[in-house]
Amino acid sequence: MLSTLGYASVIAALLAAALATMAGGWAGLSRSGGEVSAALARRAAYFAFFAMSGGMLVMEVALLTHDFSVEYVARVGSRETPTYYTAISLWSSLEGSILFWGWILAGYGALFAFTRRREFGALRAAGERLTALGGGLAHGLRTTPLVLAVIGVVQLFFFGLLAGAANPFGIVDPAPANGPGPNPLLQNHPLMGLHPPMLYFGFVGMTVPFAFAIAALLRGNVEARWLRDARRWMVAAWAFLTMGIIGGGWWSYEVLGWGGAWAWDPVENASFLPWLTATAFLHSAMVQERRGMLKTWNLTLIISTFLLTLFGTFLTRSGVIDSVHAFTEGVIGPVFLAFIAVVAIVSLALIGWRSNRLRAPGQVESPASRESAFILNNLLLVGFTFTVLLGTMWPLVVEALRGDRISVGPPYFDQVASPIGLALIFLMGVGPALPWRRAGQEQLKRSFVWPAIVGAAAGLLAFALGVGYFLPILTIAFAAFVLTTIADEFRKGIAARRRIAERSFLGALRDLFARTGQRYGGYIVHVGVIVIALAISVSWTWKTEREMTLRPGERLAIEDYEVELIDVWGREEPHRFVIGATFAAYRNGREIGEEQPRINFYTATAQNIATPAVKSSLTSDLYLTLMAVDPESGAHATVRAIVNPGIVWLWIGGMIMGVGALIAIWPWGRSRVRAAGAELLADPAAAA
Amino acid sequence: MSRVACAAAVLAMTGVALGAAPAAAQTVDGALDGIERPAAPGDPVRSAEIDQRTAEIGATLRCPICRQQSVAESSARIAREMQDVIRNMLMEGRTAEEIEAYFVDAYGPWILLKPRAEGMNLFVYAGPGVAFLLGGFLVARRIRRGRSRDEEGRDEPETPDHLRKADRRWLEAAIKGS
Repeated sequence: MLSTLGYASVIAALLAAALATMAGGWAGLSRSGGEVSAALARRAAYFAFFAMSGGMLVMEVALLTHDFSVEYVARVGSRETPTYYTAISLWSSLEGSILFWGWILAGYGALFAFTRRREFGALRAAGERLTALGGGLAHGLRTTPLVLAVIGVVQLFFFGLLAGAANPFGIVDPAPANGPGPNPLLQNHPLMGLHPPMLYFGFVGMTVPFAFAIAALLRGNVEARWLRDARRWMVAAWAFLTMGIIGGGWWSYEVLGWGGAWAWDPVENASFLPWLTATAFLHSAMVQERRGMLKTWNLTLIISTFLLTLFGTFLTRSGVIDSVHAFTEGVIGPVFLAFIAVVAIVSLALIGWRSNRLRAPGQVESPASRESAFILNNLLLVGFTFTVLLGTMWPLVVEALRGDRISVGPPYFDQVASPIGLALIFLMGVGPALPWRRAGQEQLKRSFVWPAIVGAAAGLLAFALGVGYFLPILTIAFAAFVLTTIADEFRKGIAARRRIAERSFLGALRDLFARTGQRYGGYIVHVGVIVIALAISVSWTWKTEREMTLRPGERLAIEDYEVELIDVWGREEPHRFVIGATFAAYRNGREIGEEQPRINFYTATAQNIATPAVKSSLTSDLYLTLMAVDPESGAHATVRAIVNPGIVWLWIGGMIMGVGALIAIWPWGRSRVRAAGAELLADPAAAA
Repeated sequence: MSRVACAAAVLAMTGVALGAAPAAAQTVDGALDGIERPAAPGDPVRSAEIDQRTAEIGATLRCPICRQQSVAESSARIAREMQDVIRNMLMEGRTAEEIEAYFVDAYGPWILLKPRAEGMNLFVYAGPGVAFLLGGFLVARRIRRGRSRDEEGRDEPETPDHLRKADRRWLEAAIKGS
């Protein structure tokens, strides 16, 4: 019953996507397509979202009511799993995660259609006057349905998967009485409900800028206007992806028990790759907006970002690599590869076809200019992307060519990533302080003398205070340099606003964000990146670790912490056994609470998952992992204690990045739709 | 259920788990060792320097049953035994290269988290450098070319081709139709 209902929803969504594609394509490309077909495409986008929401709801009902006649529920459900984990087991396996993906994709399509719903209304209201505006307006209006059509094509692929190779609504007859429950790793910590949706919102969100890019190519309208819109959507998706990656690191830290957040695991890399190219685009798009350059490059970045999200999904779902996150199910791998190939070939062909319109009118005039800094930033980010991709795929390449198995792991990536990361941080201090076009000697001196002095002083101070390692000293010096240039930018911006508009300090700050949120929000994001860089550098350099076997009453001392074993215990829960040890933790002699690292044994899948106990503070974390307990009396416990300095700042830095992105896309004060409309009517030239 | 019985049950099933799910990253297989396990790091009889070097070498070796974790990080039993091997070899005065070679002999090159820079693997080390050089060359050329063609006022915004006839017709039709 539920199976049929769910499958019907998917089919309905598939039909709606087909309709959106055809109607949107007609409205956007044909000679005579117009308002009617555009409205049809919009309604089809709404309906696809409605239908997919139905499918999602059916799946959630099936999961929560333990309807094991639904194939997916029989695979990941179990009566013993706590309700929260049952609800989020939607994304704990292949088919459910594709369903979730499809739902978000439908949501983006509907949201995009919704934000553009007034376009034709405005056209009607303005009536005849608008003919005078010529085709510039028509370009804008016809882009919307075309973007919907491209989103529709992507929807056709994912909804098609759901209807075929990755159908979650298959029927199991007779229905089993119970199921195995989700993968234990995925039901071991509540954070599992947080970072996967963020990642999906980020990955799927990259579809909208991609659709803009393809629509612009199809229309042959490669001017800056579509780019501005695409960029806003990209910022939103990028912010979700950032949160997802940082949240995933946090999950890994809290769950995996080795005391770190990032292991250059292939699937972690797969989420990092589109993040890198998206970041590159967010910067290079500004060069096109200001100087009309890098058109082909920007299209390439958007398309690569989209391709990399597909590729990441392929890596996770196809089972070609072994990873904490991989679902290892091989059926849909080839289908994904085929889609990736088709998208790549069609995109390349379109770029080739439109190459005559993609020539840059502008030139880079001087290496000391903001556009040069952005181009260098892009070189580093894309080089970084290539490096991570190479390292991730290399074992597969070697195995395919020679049959040898090799590993490319954290030591390799750490080594190559450190210099690239440092160079990027340095550029973050240089770029914002450089003017467009060219900087004069005097200007360079004014902008950089103080930041350079502050940076050098911070580095020397760190050295004087006993920081004996090269990498952290350099990171600290660069960080101080960047923070000084950012502070200077804010100082200048606020001073200018106060002078022009006679605002209070906070009023001026609000003005900066409201009027130039893209720029000043970006600076806030940079502050977040600096915080993260410092956290990484500090926690790597000064991480300490100790392991001991303790009897009750005995203590282990590490840095300024001490832990005393109180008790070893066992507990039976519906879906697992838990064995744990209770420690009293002290810091500088003062008790800071009880810690209970545990080992969870999941009966249904016969798997052990250790759960570390983490005591966080702004200066350092105490991280306890239970390694062993004595089988005879339960009176001994072997514990590994890690002191991780400053790691909390990783998560804080991530939040600062999120806030910065929010400032950049926040619809400050007045409605942007209205403002854009007014601008359009007042100044036809700007509309183009 | 008493604490001891529960612990015993867990440990009994640990054996099952080791057979059934060898790839589980975090296993309690160390539990079987109890306190007899020799040579815990931090043990006062061990020199701090040996501990340090053990950790350094351990960080470059893959824990064979884990996913992307090094021997130094993993709590799996085999990883801990490998650490003991490293420590013992270090105390016998072997060099890091000899220890690495020992593990490569036993497990193949797969055990190294950072592949040796030889043969095909040279590409994974040279690749990024070549890419950056090539990219840097292209960027530098573009910036220099820009400079030489300077001062021509070429960066006026391109006239958009929005007056294309087809679009104008389309727009008129759309307005009439509404």
